[in-house]
Amino acid sequence: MNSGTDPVCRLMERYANGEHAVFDQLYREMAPRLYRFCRRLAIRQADTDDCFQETFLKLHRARATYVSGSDPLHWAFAIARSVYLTRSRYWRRRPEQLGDSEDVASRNDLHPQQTLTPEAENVAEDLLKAAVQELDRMPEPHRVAYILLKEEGLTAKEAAAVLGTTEDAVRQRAHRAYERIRRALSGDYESESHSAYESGIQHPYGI
Amino acid sequence: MRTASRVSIAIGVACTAILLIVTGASQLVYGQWIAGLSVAVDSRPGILMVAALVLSLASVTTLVAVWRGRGGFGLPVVTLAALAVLVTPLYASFTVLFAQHVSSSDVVVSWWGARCLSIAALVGSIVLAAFGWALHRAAPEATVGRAAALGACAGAWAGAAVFFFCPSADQQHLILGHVLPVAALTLVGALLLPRALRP
Repeated sequence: MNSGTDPVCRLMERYANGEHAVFDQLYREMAPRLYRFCRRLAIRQADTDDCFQETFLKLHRARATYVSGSDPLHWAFAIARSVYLTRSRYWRRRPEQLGDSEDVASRNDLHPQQTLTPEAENVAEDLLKAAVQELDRMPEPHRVAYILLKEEGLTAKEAAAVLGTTEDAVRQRAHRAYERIRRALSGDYESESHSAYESGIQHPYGI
Repeated sequence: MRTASRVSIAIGVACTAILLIVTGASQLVYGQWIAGLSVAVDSRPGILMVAALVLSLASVTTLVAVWRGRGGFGLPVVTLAALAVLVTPLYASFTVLFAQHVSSSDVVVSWWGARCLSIAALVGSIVLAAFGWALHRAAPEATVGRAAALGACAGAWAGAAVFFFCPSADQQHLILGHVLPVAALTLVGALLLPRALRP
């Protein structure tokens, strides 16, 4: 929790008091981490952009509700999650099937075996894809707990406040997410090592 | 206007409305300012104790429902939901199980409590609207829990209002006219307020 002496806190406080000129500076301070959070939450580029834009719009509308001295970024994370959940509920009620907007070769839903190449870079890329896919597949509460704790570096107490739950619940959800990613990566890694061995290609790490 | 100022205004509006409605209706119907504390009372200390419990319940519920803490997120959803679930049984146990009124010819009430239902609905709507306005866009997470807690808060104040207004000792009247609105307002809060509370 910030003590209120943080420059972002002071900027947010001024913004909440109606000083709109500080928005640019506030945006510069908050946007990178907030965008990364939205990216992890929404996974897809277009959803990420929408989520990020709408979060700032809602942050602007709700600026008077900001509590002085609290961390504006944590507050923005909570708003972003609310935006994401609202959008998810909306699209769940009105599903639509769109054609692929990208090359089939770069589709994320292909299995790692299908995109396997012998080069180490590709193995790493596949593992990354597998991790992102696993992150996308897991329940939202687990994903967001993992992102806040492991990627954004919030403490369990701070993450619990952002998610409106208890510290134990946050730790448990993040641990489950971590275990799923670990299992997915070790599974992919083993299957790729096996495929590389079968095709007579030496593994880049000599395993 | 900042949320803290809005909450202060909402508390002021709610208290004034409750005071005016209870005293006005009580004077009109029973010719007493607060009939619930003076007409057909079995035990004076007993009724004052129940009054204190009912007021404490309403105050604590309000505090929990509007409290936002240092981070601006308020209490966890589990606490808010527990509060919303517990308010109605607690109110019922204070006012129905430990009822301090006796049957009297001075008190003529309908068994289904039309007057009390109307007063509870009026007070509850005012409190719900006031706190809904105060916390407009102020709950980015645990929104449904917060909305249910605000509904319970409105229900607790509506229950307090009918407790101070009505001297009925009829159990059926107490359940339908006093306790039922508390549960109904909690439900209404949980269903209607989340959209208003989200940023």
